[in-house]
Amino acid sequence: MMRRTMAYFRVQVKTYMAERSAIFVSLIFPVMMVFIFGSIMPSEYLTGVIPGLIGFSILTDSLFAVTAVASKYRLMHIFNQLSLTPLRRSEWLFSVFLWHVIIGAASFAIIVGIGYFAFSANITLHLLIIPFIAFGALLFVSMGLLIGTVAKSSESAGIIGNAVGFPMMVLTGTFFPVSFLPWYLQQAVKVLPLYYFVQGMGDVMVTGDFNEGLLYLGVLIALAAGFFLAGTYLFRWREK
Amino acid sequence: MIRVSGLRKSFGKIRAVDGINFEVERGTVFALLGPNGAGKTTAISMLEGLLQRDSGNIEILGMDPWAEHGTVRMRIGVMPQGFNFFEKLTPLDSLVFYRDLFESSVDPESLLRLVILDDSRNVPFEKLSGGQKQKLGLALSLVNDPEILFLDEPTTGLDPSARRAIWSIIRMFRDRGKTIILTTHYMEEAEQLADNIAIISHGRIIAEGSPEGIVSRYGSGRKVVIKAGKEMGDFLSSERIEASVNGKYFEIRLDPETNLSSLIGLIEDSGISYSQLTVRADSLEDVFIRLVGEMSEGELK
Ligand SMILES: Nc1ncnc2c1ncn2[C@@H]1O[C@H](COP(=O)(O)OP(=O)(O)OP(=O)(O)O)[C@@H](O)[C@H]1O
Ligand SMILES: [Mg+2]
Repeated sequence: MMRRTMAYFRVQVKTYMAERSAIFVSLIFPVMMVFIFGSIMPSEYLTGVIPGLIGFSILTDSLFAVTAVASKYRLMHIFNQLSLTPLRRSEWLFSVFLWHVIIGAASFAIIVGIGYFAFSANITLHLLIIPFIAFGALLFVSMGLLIGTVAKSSESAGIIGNAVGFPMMVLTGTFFPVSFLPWYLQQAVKVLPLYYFVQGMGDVMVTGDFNEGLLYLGVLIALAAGFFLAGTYLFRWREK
Repeated sequence: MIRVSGLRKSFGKIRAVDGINFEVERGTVFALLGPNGAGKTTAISMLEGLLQRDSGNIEILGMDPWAEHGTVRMRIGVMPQGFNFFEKLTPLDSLVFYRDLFESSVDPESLLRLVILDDSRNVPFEKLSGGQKQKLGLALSLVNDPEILFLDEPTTGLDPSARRAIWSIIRMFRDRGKTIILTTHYMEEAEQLADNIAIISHGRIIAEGSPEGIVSRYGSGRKVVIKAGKEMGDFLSSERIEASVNGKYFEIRLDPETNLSSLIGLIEDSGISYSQLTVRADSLEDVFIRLVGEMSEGELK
């Protein structure tokens, strides 16, 4: 099982290495964001948005990439092709998840590293960060799988992905604290899954409010489980 | 080896496959012929277990390819129509990937040489030419040394020497006692390779048998084919000789009463020049066009 999972993992690595825009979005972009915020804002502000920038990276790396892959591979009959090999759907999915956890951990390390060493951001590292990154990746991989599976065409998959992703990318505390929003938007953003990631990571890394952090981690796990079940229930390699 | 009965599949109102039956023996090549949209790909996808049937029965190696896909897939090879793969993977990467998945002992390099793709072993899939992509599709279908090979239009768009190379792979495969189902639009290919043929139109089999059998059953004897200008047509109609026009070719059917030498004498005496005059029997292509044409006319009525 691991052998097949790793075989597909290498396919993902090769695909990623050949795709310059993917490298840019997943690694260069977060670096730029930290530099921009670090240069124009005081260190406390940067510290406050670091969990947001991490959330932003995990969202863009996982949600948009998996949405595109799930719809494109279905329409190009690559899933049909894979269904004729011993690779199982669960192995494929686990491999995709593993890849996005690693990319997520890498962007975490880059953002925290630059923030800390270049701009003396005041952040705490804690073991709870690991489940946040793992379930964050699982959540957005599952959402991408779901969107890519239900969308009829690649275009509509892209549109739905953007419609779901953009509000989260901007409003959930990624670039500025949620408290900057008008009160009704502060309530509304609670329906956006990334909110629980960013706020929970803020509790763990910045404010040290572990009770609230654990609560938000619980919500994140529940959301990830829900989307995972829905996505894997609908996702098929073969047509009816 | 392969048994299909009463197979049906509809997409909305389109009856893509409308009740077909056939059997394929081990160690033979079976070709599905038919015009665009006849239902060949739909039928073959159901045999491969990639598409669920509406009704009917399919037995592949004694199994149901949809329900027992997990077992069947290990023993078949599939080259789909318009084969697509991971854009950034090279042919070598792709074969290594398949070899790892199947835990097979094939040497990717030798498969690349077999399908004449070794020169492009390191070119990403998206940069391969159409024919090179198909060659990779064929190579991948061979990784697990399958017992049955499904090839949907394997040589469409290939250059003549690549086509012959693929023919020889198919023959080699058959000679090892394996079974092949292929679709094609090239009658020559079917005549060269197939032990048995089914001609499909509108989701139904309208003729089935060996290539020679079909030609002798549905063909209508010999004909004279003349390549000439328009004056030839005028001359023939003035002589009340019934000829069908096909571009620059005039075709005169020879029924048993026609005297070939007097017909040719008449044409020679007319003094009208022609560039070719041949006498030949109906080919598979003639039969195909007639059968499919009759079928469409029947549809119109
Ligand atoms: N997924 C699908 N959804 C809707 N209609 C389909 C689908 N697949 C095939 N069809 C329709 O079914 C009919 C048969 O298509 P099929 O692809 O089997 O033809 P074919 O014989 O393989 O043609 P070609 O020689 O052009 O490859 C066509 O009318 C086609 O439009
Ligand atoms: Mg087809």
